[in-house]
Amino acid sequence: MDKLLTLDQTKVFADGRSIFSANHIEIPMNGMIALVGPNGAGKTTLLRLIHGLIKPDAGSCVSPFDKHESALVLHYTPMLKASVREHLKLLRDTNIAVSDADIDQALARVGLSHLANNPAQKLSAGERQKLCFARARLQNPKLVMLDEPTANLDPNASDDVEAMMTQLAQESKVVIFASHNMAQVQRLANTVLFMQDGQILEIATPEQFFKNPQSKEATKFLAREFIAQ
Amino acid sequence: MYQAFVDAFSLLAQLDSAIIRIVLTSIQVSLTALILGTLIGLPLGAWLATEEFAGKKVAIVILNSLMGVPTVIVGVLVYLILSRSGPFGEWGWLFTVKGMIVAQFFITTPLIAALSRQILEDSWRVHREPFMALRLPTLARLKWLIWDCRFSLTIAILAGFARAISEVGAVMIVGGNIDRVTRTMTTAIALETSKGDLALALSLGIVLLGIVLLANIFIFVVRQIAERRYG
Repeated sequence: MDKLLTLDQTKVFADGRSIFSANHIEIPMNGMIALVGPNGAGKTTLLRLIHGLIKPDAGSCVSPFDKHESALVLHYTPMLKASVREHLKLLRDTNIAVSDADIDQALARVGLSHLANNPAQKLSAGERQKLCFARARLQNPKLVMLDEPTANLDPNASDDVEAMMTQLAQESKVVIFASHNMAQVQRLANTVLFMQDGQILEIATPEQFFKNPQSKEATKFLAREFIAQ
Repeated sequence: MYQAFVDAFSLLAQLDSAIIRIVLTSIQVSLTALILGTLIGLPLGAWLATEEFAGKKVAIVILNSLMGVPTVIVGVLVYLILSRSGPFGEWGWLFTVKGMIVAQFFITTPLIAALSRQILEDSWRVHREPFMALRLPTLARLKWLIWDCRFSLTIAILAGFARAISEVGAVMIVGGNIDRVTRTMTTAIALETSKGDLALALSLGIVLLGIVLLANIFIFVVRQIAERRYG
């Protein structure tokens, strides 16, 4: 199986403390990959590392994807004082050729055509997330990363977002998403990465991970999560 | 005093040609300086807000200090630069409208740049990560940041206009307050008051206040409309 990422002696520091480290880890490229773990586990740091937003302070982080082949949808994307359409036109300032027809099509796919000329700051949380998906899709990436894509969304909006994630995976795009929703991870993921204290402790299929977690940290985490949910 | 006000309004009602010429010269000088100051000051402020480089804090302190430099000091420096023995003496811009625009450009630019930097820096903290995630190039980041803050930035531009149109020191020194050539509202007010022609001084003062008030109303209305539309 191809490797999505090879981490070798990788370390990331912030404010003088280690926030991510990996001795030697190879992450397989296998459909939809879920990053799970408690807050502060390093999930967002790993996504930022893969996307190239940050560079490791030590060691290496090697991905087969080119710099412009990945798209990252952040946990929270603040909207500009601009229309929904302008948020997509913004991509013309990157290296991406985006026509008006592409924008119309992207908006139609996420069901935002009727709001194209509305101010993006007045969108609901779910609509904002759809706009971010439309923008990610317009970047035509091979790898799409989503940081807690359904956090703070109501069940209907969550279903819409999950459907879009599935659609991306069906288009042969590699999708990595961080999530605290274990039911969602079970529904969508082909591979689960469990992280804690800035380290990847487990890489498994959902069946293995949820039925027979290998680390005691994962066992504790799952017990807490399932009690909470 | 009452008579002076009556005479001032009478002059305004008659649309006195001397007053009109002075007002137009003032607006020409200040608006041109403002446009040039905005074209340079806004990108400079945006660049300072978004880029990290050695000495950035020193640059910000210097820029903030330049906001408060007395206009007479700017006037003297521009006078020296444009005087016959100065580096740009051969241009012959001393005691001309062009020279006054140069002086006011150096007054408005630091003010607009410093205020813009502050406004844009706050917005940059919010949009930095998404812009980087989209891999927007530097110029595009500056463009979209300025676009996002366009309504707040009107305050910086308004402040630049108010400082330019109301300053007297620099235009007096560089322009020379020459009748029908470089006389502006502020230099005329200073001159006419010292001559005792309070009616003309007051009428120009009323016009000056009116222009500043109109500019403020315009900006206020624009911001209100924008806030209603964009939240």
